[in-house]
Amino acid sequence: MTQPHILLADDDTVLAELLTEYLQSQGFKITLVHNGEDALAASKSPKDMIILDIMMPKMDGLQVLKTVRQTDNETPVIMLTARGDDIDRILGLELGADDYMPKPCNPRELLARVNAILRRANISEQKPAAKNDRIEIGDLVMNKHNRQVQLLDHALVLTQTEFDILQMLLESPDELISKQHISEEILGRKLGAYDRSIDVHISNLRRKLSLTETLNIQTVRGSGYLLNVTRD
Amino acid sequence: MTRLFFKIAGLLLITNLLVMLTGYLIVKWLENERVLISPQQAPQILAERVVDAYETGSLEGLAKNLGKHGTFIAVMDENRNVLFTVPQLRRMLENRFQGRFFPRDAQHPNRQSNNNRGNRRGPRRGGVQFTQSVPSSNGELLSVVVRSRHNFRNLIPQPAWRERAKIIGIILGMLLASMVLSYFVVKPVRSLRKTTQSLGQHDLSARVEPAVADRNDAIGELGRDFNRMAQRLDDSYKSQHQLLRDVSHELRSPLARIQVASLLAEQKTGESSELKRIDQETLRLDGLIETILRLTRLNDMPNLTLESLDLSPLIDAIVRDAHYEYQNTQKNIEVSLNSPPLINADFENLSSALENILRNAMYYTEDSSTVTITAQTKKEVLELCIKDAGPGVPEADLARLFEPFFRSDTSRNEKTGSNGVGLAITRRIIELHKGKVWATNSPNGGLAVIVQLPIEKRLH
Repeated sequence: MTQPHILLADDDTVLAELLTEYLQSQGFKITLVHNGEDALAASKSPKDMIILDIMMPKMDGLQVLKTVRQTDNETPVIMLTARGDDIDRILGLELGADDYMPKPCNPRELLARVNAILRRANISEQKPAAKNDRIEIGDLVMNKHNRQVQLLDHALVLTQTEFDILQMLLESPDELISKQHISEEILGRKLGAYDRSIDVHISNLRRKLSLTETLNIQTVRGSGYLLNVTRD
Repeated sequence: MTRLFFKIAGLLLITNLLVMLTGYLIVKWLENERVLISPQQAPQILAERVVDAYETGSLEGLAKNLGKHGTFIAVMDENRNVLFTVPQLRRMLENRFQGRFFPRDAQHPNRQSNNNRGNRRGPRRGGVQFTQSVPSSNGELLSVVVRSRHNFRNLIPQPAWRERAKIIGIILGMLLASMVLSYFVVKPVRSLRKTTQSLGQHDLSARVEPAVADRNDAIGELGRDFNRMAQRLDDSYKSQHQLLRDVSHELRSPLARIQVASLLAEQKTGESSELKRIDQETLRLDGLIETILRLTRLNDMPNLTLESLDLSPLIDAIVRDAHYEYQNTQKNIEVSLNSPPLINADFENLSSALENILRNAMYYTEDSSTVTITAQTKKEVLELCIKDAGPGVPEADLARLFEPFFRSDTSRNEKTGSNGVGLAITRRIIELHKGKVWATNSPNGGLAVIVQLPIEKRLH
């Protein structure tokens, strides 16, 4: 695998440079920018991942994310949010960010999240196409190999994280999957007490699945989710 | 001051006058209606009633009633013909008035008179005797002779309720007057008191209502002074709060840089205990800042979205965590909830509020002792009690236990690794649940933290 290329956008230049140095030492190629406009410009060329600070001059991170997601749903995005700012966090996830990282962030933790997301992206790429890559449930067809999803013959546009969560649900339909399990599998981390990340991803998925009535993601309060499949 | 003085003095004057006036008017009215009879009117009215009864033929009955009461009557016409008499007056009529009796009356009263002679009592003290002339309906002037052992005031028997009417009327008047008084004086004072209480209970937005604060008297002044004081309190609380939040925000950027720098240093120079220490301390600072910000956020929140919740699974979950955390110790937890009623709560926030209390209890409880969690229902609240078997807290510090950064014993600070904000967060969360939390030293040692949460109101 080639050196993963990450776009890092953060207006705290000192911190950003330190982070760059750290991530480079971990084998990543880093493009560093310090404001929103530059971030948007840099996102035009393909990257393996974008790390976006929310508070940035010229254009804030949420705006950058929104613009990027209009054309590109695949590149994973991690938002750097002010610690405890739930609104920004949830907004970011709703706009299609894959995960967030509270600032000030522990660089080891950031690395773990980056790796978790990149690993999942790579699993499917590295494997050769196989028969069982295709999952067909209800009105939905998922191709695990090229990461495409079709719903009622329409291509369903999912972010990487949404795809991974949906895949997890599809692989064990009608079974309760705990939030904690989803978080550990997909985001590579334990879910904190006030962490709504999975709930937001699920609500994004629900919105995108609303075209069909055969698939229904149920919330089991306090425990997790299960995919309810209505079969004819 | 003078304004209020005159206001109250005036009110008292007016209400007293009102009482007097109503009393007077009620008596006048009752007299007019002949319900109450004044002594001056009594002879005239008695005579009129007797003549009325004579004309309608019901005089026998009336005479009998009056007789029982001790009042005896007779009726004569202009020519001193005795038209009617009770036996008791017969002799007097014969002797003093030389009254002539009609033959038809003669026999019957005679016999009665004989019968009664033996019972005659001597002259009574305090009695009256008079003759009152009343014109009858055909214009004839009839004389009514009355002898009574009562004076004029009690001449006509008055039913008991009529007597009471006078008193009741006056009491009603007074009641009305006192209500008017209370309304004007007590009402604003009560409103002031309510506001003071709310402010005392941490509601810094409590202000005296305009109806009171806009008054032009001393109560109004008091209200305005109170509002100014509350505003200052509110402002200073907010600025303190703002400062805490801003400082915490500002601390985060350098902290983030230190974290990354120390990691890079470690990569270059290899692991060292000093760098480990730097890491630990930055993590601690990080955690502290996070909790402070969490507290300030909770303080900024006007309310939480509460939903119907069963406390049992929530307690089970935090107890499980605590067990796990203390699995290598002899510290135990005992829970007895007895299927508590539903409450309105925010699961996550309430969990962390109770977790802070439990964690505190677990930390301070002695080795091989037990922390107990009990619940009981009291009227409209569910009362949770989390009790440890630790050293307790000096009485003077109990009230401050829930203030941020308050520590009863500074030496414990380093060991706990806790940052002194946990219980402040707990208090704020419980407040957001419209509940109360406080601590007491239990009689047999140890600290008991009591949480009261309102029980969900059912529709039935």
